[in-house]
Amino acid sequence: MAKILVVEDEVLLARSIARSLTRAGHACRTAQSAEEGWEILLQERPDVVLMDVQLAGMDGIAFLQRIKRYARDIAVIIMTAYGSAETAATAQQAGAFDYLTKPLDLEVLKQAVHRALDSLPCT
Amino acid sequence: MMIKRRLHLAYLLLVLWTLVIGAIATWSVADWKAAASDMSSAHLYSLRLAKVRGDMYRQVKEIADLFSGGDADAKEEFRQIELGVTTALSSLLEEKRSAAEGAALATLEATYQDLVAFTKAIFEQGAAREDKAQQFEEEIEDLFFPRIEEQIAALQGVYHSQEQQAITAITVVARRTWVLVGVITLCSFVQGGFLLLGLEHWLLTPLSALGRAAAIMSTGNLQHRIPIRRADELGALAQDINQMAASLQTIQAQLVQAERLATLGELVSYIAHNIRNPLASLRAAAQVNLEEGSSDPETMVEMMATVDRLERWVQNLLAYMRSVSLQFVPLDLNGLIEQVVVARQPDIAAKALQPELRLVPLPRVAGDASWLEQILAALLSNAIEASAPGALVVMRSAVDADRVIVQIIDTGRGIPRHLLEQVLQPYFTTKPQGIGLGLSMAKKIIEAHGGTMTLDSEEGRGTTVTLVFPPLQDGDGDRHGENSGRRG
Repeated sequence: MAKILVVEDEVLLARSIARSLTRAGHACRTAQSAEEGWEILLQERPDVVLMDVQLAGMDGIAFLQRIKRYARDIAVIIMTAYGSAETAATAQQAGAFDYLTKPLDLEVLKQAVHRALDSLPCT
Repeated sequence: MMIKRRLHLAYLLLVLWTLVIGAIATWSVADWKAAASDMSSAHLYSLRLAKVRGDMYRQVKEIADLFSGGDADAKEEFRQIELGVTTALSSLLEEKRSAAEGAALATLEATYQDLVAFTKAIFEQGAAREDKAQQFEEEIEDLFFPRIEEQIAALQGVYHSQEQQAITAITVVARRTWVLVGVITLCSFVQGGFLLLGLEHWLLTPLSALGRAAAIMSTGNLQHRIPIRRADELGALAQDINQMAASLQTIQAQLVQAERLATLGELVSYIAHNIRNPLASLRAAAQVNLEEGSSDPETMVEMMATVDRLERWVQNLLAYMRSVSLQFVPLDLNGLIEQVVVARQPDIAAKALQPELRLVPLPRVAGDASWLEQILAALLSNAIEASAPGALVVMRSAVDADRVIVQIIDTGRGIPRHLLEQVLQPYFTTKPQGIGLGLSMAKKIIEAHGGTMTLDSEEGRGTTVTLVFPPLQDGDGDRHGENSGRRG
């Protein structure tokens, strides 16, 4: 079982992702803003963070960099509705593990999460 | 005529004028010098004649000495004096300057020759005899002294007359010089006046007109053209400036087109983003329900709410996509502010806010009443929304250097520093239902009025929105603005 944090201001989407991942056996928390997500991250230290690239309160890329500075072994998967190659390149340069475009298939999302978990060093 | 040629002509006239002044000065100096020389010569001749007269009397004295004292050297001295007097008279005769002077000198010379001959005859008679002395003196006094005195007086009269003529000539030259100096000064003033008028007419006035036109163009009015009324360098410059304005207009139109295309690209991307987000929610919710084999009513309600939210957002977007047409009329912004505060009274009362109007009499501005009212209302709504219950909200008007200033001041939550620059950008919003075009569009509409809109905010201390409008110009009030395509 892995700990997963979903940072997404679309409440219905965040909750649906959380339900799907919980059903797949993971412990999932959701946050609607970068600040809330950061607080949960400090408390829970998740294995994977799923986050929107555009967040209220902070630019998603800046939040990603902040997470990576805090802990390099947290895998971050970016979700975006923009779907531009430029955003994808920026996210991956900033250390994102993967990049998914909205609307997304929850199966594809779960596969990305499993790949991310497989990529993490064994503890 | 070209300005360069006019300047050459003015330079040539100045050179000619200087040459005329130089020639007149040279002429006056030459006349004055000749007259002074004449006066000096006449005086000198007069002195020389006086010396000749003295020598003549001394010569006679020598004869008297011969008779009375038997002076052995008297005869020789007589000859020496004779030589001196003869030479002096010959010299004066040679240097004579008029026939009258020559005649008088010749007469004097002849009389002197008679005197010499007479005295020589006395000497020839041999030894000096006292009985002859009396006869000699009487003959000299009767025969020669009156004649000599008369002729010398005549000559002195000639020299005096010459001296007077020279003085008169000097006086004439001096008077003429004063007149000429006066005329030259007057002409110089007139010439300088014409030069100044010429500079004013050919250079300063057209340069001022060019400066005014450039200032008008610098305000963004690139339709303005300078009337070409001259065929000189400034006319060519005006033509160049007009061409530059035309080129700038073309470039501006291209830039506007490029900006529209770029904005269109941003808009398409923004619309896609804002549609994909709720679609992602709907798809994920449907998929998870499918996975669970359930039809959770709460999820269904949220899905419907998401669809409704998307619909409202699309409605808002369509409303903002209408083209904006501005109708400028002379407006009193204080009146608009008061209307807006009255209209928002229910919201103000609901939060028990303390509205304060700090209005001063304002000059009218050219504005679109409907749009400005909407903008003021939206800004006041933002202030009300950001304020804590019971807080102070101020609407202020002021005049600074002819510009009309309106401020909406709240002491609410303020805008975080990192968002301050973004809030005026298109598509930025912190409101769930917002489409992020309100403030950016308000800014563009204020700018279409020739004004500015700025935000000053500090998190936790409040926000001040400042609108600045230019004063009403001649011809304002019948302007029409069109922001074609869509708002923003």
